[in-house]
Amino acid sequence: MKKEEILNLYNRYRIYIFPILVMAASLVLIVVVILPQTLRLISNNKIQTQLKIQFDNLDVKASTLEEINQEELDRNVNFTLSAFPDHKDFGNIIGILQNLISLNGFIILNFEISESGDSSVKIGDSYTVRVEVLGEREELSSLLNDIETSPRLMKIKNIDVTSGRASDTINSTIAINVFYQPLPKSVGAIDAPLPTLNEKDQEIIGKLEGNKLLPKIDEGLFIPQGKSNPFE
Amino acid sequence: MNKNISLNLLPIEYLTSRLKDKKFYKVQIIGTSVVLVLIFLSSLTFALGIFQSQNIKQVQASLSNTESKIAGYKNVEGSLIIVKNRLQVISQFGELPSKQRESFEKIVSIIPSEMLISSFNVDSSGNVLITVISPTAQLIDEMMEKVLSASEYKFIAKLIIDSLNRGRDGLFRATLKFEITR
Repeated sequence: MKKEEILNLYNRYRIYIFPILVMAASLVLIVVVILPQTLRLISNNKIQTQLKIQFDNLDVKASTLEEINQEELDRNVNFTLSAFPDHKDFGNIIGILQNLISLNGFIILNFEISESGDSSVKIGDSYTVRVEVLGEREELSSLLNDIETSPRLMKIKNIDVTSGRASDTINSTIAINVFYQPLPKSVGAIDAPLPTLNEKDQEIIGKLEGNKLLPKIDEGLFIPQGKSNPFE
Repeated sequence: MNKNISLNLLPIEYLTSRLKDKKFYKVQIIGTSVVLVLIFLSSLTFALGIFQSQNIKQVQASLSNTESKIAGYKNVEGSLIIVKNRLQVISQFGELPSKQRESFEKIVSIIPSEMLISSFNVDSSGNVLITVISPTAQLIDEMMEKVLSASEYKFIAKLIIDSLNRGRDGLFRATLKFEITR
């Protein structure tokens, strides 16, 4: 009986019941399947595009790294670390300054190295070298210029000059900030862009290469490799 | 003349029922089409989602491979960063004279050749303290006037005479302090 009643009810109101059922089914399909899937497609599309861009950039970076001439790179590292080392190069600076001072006709009376530097100058870290020299008045300007334009990065901190009345000889005490900068602890994110050397960089490397004042740093010094198996 | 006269002998309820059925049939077709279209769209979006996920997995795998490749070149990248960083600093500061050297060069160029510089001090701020020996006081005067009036000496913020005296030898000794603009 009940089944007949339901059927009778349906037949009487089927013109309304059927559309309501269709609407309900449509709503369920839209809300449960179509809408979430469409939103997921849109967000996945964005992710896919981002991943593709990331992959393209990394691919270019990997190809560039593969093509780099390791020998030339090692030479460039040597030159740049000679000019701007990663540690206090007391031994080197003595040689460089001795050369510069004698090239300008001065005699070294006193040579002092102090570990403290000048924190007001924003070029990495520094230590101070104080030299007392004796020489011709006219050559002092050239000596100061040679010190500051030498490939080894250093700047004048202060100058003290005294001279005798009748002579052209002066006694000069020059304090020099000698700069260095420790190596970075990490290379940064894997997708960080690779630095490239422009024309100006190549020019500077050329000058450093040709400069006999700079000492050569031993190869392999700056990035310790270690052994994968210390027992071999 | 023969005229065709049609008479519908069916009862009215039968006609109404047939009209209702026709109407319902149309509604059924529309409703079923809508549901079928939605089922099709659901399957399509589902299939596209699966296809897209596979694509993403492929790209992620390629990305991972490339990242491993780049990680193997960590030392090369490190060396490049060192070189570039150093060169940037050398390029920026290498040829640039320090304030102290600039002060030295500029002040020395101000002193007339007739005067003798007996002492010259440049401190770490670039300020200069000099002691000069001049045959006449006029020379010192002229030098100071030149410094205070000419626009090319605007880098000098202050010029102070710390001391001025005349020795028994007739020569004038002056200690001058040049404060340089920051």
